[in-house]
Amino acid sequence: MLDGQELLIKKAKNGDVDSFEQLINSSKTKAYNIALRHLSNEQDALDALQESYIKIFRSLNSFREESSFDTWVYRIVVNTCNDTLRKNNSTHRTVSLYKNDADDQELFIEIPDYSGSPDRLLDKKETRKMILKSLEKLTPEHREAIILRDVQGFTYEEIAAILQVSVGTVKSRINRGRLILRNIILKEQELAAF
Amino acid sequence: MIIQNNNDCASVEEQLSAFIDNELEPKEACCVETHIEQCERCKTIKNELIYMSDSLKSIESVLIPPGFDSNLKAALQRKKPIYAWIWNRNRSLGFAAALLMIGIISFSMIGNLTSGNGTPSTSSMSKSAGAPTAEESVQAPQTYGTAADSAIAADPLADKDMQVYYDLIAEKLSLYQYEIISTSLENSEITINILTDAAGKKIDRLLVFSYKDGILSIEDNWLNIKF
Repeated sequence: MLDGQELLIKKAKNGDVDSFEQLINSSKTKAYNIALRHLSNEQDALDALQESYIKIFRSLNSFREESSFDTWVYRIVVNTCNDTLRKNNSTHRTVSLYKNDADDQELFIEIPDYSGSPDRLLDKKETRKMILKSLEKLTPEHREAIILRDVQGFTYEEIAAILQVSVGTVKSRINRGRLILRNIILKEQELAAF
Repeated sequence: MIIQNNNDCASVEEQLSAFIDNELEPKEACCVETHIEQCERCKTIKNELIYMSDSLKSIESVLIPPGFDSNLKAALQRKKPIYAWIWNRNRSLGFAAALLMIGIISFSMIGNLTSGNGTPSTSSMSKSAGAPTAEESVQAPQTYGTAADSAIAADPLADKDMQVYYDLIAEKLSLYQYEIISTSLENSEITINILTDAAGKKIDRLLVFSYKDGILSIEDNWLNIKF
């Protein structure tokens, strides 16, 4: 960690708002985009981001500097977004296609394969828009893994640190999430064809 | 014609994303590559996953709307943890404040006795300090907070002022390394993860605190034993 960042953290722990603002400057845009893609709503994302930063400001003493400050910020932003999704559950319905057991191993339910016409996904111009829309239909666990990997470009190790799960779990969530997303898109396209 | 082995396809499918993202060991990557070269179905899925992934990667970053920074600054100024400075984050200041309070109480008592007009009411004054005393903590280890805390955060859901609870947790877990995992306003719960104990031994245990009307509580025997 940079000395400058340590100093800012120390000052922010003593309630210095200006130091805190400098501290979060490097993570702010990325944190906002994580929230925006996770919640798919600008106002919800801004609220979640503000709530996250207030939490961070007031919980700075619990930051033990074992992970990087930015990783800690992203973890709290993701958790806050998940809280928001739970609160808005009635409007953000997701269908769980897997469940977690106590050992953090994912037990999968077989995903139906809609790959009858394999090139359809590549042919559609509106696919990109549809991908974003279809992201909303994933469970929060799959969605956050894909957002962190594909939209934000984090490595599997960084994602594991943010989500506090093993790299194996990250691998599994990204792959299952992408396969489910692909099937959702293919099914949507199939329905749209009728 | 190449006959596909369904077991191979299932196994490869599980590894496709890691293959695309270069997260496989060279030997594993080689096996996947060999299979894909011979299997049209897996090759198609791989290409579709790459297309989806590239589409998401090409999404441009959105700038935070103007006004967010000034709103955040104002919110942070309002939520400045003054209470924390005194009672949790600077023990020496807290101690000094406690000494000052004792001095005021003593002075008040002497004044009352000297003037001879009534009984000194030290208990109510000491409550106004706003933090649980050591005695209270020992007597009621599973309920944290006092009437004065309630006055500080009488309606945390209304004003979103959660600091009093975070501070109480920080105080009670001062010997542990922990981090706040989430706060559920809906369930009035704060979930934390204990990382290490006082000796630095790794613990990694989730605890769920409930809060209501300025009072923090937990139903966890493990924590009770440790305290």
